Amino acid sequence: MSAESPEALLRVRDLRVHFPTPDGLVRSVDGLSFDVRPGEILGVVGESGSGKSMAGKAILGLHEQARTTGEIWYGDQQLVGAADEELRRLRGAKIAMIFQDPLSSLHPYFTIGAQLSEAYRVHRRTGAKAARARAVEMLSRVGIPAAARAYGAYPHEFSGGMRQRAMIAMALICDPGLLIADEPTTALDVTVQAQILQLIRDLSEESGSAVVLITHDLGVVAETCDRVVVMYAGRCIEQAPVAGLFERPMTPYTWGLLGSIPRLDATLGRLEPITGQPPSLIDLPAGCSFAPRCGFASRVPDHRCTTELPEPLVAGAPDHLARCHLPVEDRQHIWHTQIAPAL
Amino acid sequence: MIRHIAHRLLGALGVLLVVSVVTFAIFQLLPRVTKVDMAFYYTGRNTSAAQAAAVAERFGFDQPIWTQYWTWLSGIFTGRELGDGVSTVHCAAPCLGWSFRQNRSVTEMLVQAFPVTASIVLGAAVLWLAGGVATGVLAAARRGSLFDRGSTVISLLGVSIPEFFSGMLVIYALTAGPGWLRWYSGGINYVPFTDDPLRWAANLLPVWICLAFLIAAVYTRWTRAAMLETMSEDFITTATAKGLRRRTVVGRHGLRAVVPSVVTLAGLDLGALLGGVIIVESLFSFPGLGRLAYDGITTKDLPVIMGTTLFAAVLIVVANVVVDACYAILDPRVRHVS
Amino acid sequence: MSLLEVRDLRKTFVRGHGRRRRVVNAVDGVSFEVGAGETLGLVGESGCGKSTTAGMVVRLIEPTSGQISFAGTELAGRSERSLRPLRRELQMVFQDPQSSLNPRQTVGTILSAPFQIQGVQPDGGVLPEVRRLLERVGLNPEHYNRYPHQFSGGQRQRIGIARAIALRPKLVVCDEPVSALDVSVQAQVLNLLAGLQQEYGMAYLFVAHDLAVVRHLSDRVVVMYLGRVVEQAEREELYRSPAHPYTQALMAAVPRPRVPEQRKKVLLRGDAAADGPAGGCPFRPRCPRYATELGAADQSRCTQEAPELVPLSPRQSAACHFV
Repeated sequence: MSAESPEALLRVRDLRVHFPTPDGLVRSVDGLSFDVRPGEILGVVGESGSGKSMAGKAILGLHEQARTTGEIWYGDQQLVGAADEELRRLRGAKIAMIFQDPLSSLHPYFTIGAQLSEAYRVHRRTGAKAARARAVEMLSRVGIPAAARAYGAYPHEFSGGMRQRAMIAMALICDPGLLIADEPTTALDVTVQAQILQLIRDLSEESGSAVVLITHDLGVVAETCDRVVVMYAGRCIEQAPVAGLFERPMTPYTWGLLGSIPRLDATLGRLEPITGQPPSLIDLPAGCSFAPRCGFASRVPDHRCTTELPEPLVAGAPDHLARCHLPVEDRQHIWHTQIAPAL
Repeated sequence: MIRHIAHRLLGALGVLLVVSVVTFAIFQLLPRVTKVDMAFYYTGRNTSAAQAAAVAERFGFDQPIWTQYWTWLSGIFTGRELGDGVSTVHCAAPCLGWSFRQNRSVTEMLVQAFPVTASIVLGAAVLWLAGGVATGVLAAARRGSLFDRGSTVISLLGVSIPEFFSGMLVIYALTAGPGWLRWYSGGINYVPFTDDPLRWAANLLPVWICLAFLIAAVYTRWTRAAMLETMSEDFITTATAKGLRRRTVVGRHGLRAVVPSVVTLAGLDLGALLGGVIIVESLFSFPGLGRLAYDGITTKDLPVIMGTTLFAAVLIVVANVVVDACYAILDPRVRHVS
Repeated sequence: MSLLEVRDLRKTFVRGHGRRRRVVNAVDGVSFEVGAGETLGLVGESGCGKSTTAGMVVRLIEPTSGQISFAGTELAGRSERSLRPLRRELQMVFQDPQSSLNPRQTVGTILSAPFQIQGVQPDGGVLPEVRRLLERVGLNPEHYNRYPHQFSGGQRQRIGIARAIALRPKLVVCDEPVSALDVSVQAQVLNLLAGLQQEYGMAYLFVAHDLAVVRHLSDRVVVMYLGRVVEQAEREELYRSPAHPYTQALMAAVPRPRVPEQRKKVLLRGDAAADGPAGGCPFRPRCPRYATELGAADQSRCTQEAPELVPLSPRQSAACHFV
């Protein structure tokens, strides 16, 4: 979707993740393209069923039942269709991943320390002692007090926040260039969420690792990310630097998302939610997948919204791409006169 | 931890008391068994009605049932003097009764038969655990493969073919079958381990295979199902995302998660089987607990039936306690909560 | 007189055995009132006791002590049987619409159950009323013979709401009714709840962890921490000038979906351990005011004396020694 950026750390091009089911082919991700630049925090935001988590797992080749096509380039290495062993060497070493629920994502019967050391030893040929020292170092780096003691603890002895810290320590133990964080704070309380997001930001800055932060929460994106990809029905519908997205969002879907969120700093009379339901991933509508729910589709002549898939085009700013048939000027006008004042 | 186990042991003692009451009651309160019949069952000889009545009185069968129970129960701890009107025998503690048919104490018979059953069950357990769990893990790891489907068919056969059928085939093939298979032309007989370990193992091998094949089938299916469930857990995704080799993910992270449930199953099975494997023992004519119980039943030797029943019940209770303790050791979450 | 009056409500759970046995005060002396037709928001993080409180109000959880008076009737200590007539006036909407609807019953059966249980015969019969209900909550009235799994999450929550309002109760207790839903669906359900309140004039006890959602719907808000009320205020007062250091930190921690200004902010350390410190203020271990602003003499007050809820104004009160 983005213009060619040769310096990108990760390039995803026309990624498709399809699951054959008895009811038909579920197109979880259907033509997704984006870049991750070195050191940046890229937010991937969308509602359930948008394909954001599926895309994250596809990067590491974690889908067993899926048909994955397209291109995922990490440097000059193409990951779609790569040999198992090639992917395995990459996982944890170059690209690491953390998940939504740290309790179920850690093995309940192994100590935190054993799980960290194992992640280190599988990629670095070191002895148990060196791995242990590294694990303790990582535990204290993510802010776990008494790291040497925490090494011998089991996951259930930790609080939710501490578990997610341990997951982060485990993910970063081999200094990967990219961390994929799949809803890392959704299961946590808001005060703990703030700590974990801060930690991810600090560590990314410190180590220069890029982060793909998958979330449903536009607030988390605004406070944590540099750039953002908005997903809808398996595709990127809009992508922009964070400031650009929140200053002038360029698709009716993003407007709808913003209008749906209750505000902490203002008392709104009534929310302006998106009407209807997301489309079925088995039977995606022709044209723009958002068109059936879009209040502006009727303004585009010749039913183009329901017949022709809009291409991602530059909208407003050079780094801001959006898929929408409405003329850019019209969208700017609508945003400034109708949408923004109501928020 | 120790508290936890002490707690469980106390509970087990209570269960044992109930078991002893029930065991006693079942055989004493059987309908249509009159006091005279009791005496008959007890002595097992061709007694006249008058003699039987005399025996009944001597044994206290005319006493209230609770007095009888107490005499029986205290005999387990202190021993008893028993007589049939002709002679008196001393049944030393722990006295589970006296078989007048064989003129031996039931305890002695149990002590003699237990090593036979233990040899059969423990040896077979090694086979069924190793075979069943390994097959289950591999089948789950290669779900849908030829191996998976093959193992499903074989374990289905294992579950559905009764052991008296497969056992008879084995006995026939090995003792009277074609020459190249007739490895046991002298018959399959139990040899105590202390007499000759090699012949002990050689003679037990067909028994082990026969019993293990049946039970391994259950373990294969159980392990496969548990592994498939485990492999869809989040921590398995984490293990894969760490870059672990597939065999480490399956063999370490996956298998470790199903170990507690397999141990639970195995512990309860062992407890139940150590009390006697009636069919297999009878089939191979191995003088174990199962055979003892079977003979007791066919000859209406009531003290033997009660003794073997109580002993089997004790083993099951003990197995439950052991399984609980194992679970606490294997699952750190239980360990810390208790 | 308020519709619902809760006085000094407590719930203790016993965890563990023997030496590890300890008593957890899940709800530790909570008092509040809900007036007819108003919405009281009950907000806090996990383990603060907000859901336990909601459960006690509808008597799904037996209170250890305290009074719950609803429309002038005392609920605490009454038998399930004698509560039944009151259930008509007091309904609940659950967090997970998937598990709170019987999967083997059609929506029509689910929605006609309240009428049958309470022996109410609506004008024109039960079925037309069920269809009216479905239409009112934004579902197709012809779908009354479908099963819950044929609906999406948001639609199922609408069914749960329809069941709760079927008998026009005076109070609906909503326990995290939108936290399992996507933002766009969440907004639809919030609008529905607001619209129903306008139409029928019922009161809500709205339990949620999301401060923005609570602001949107509530007239007054109660903030809980480790089983206690730390602050209680009218909506505008609370969000304009939160008084308790915990409320302040909670609000600061909420990520805002707008152009970021400054990213580094003061973060609350640690998390609310299920067993707070014995005695004194339960928030003390994480309190930024305690850690940075107070002298030794003031600190010892926090460690020894649990603060009571004191009024700062007629519209706002907080439980902190140093507000």
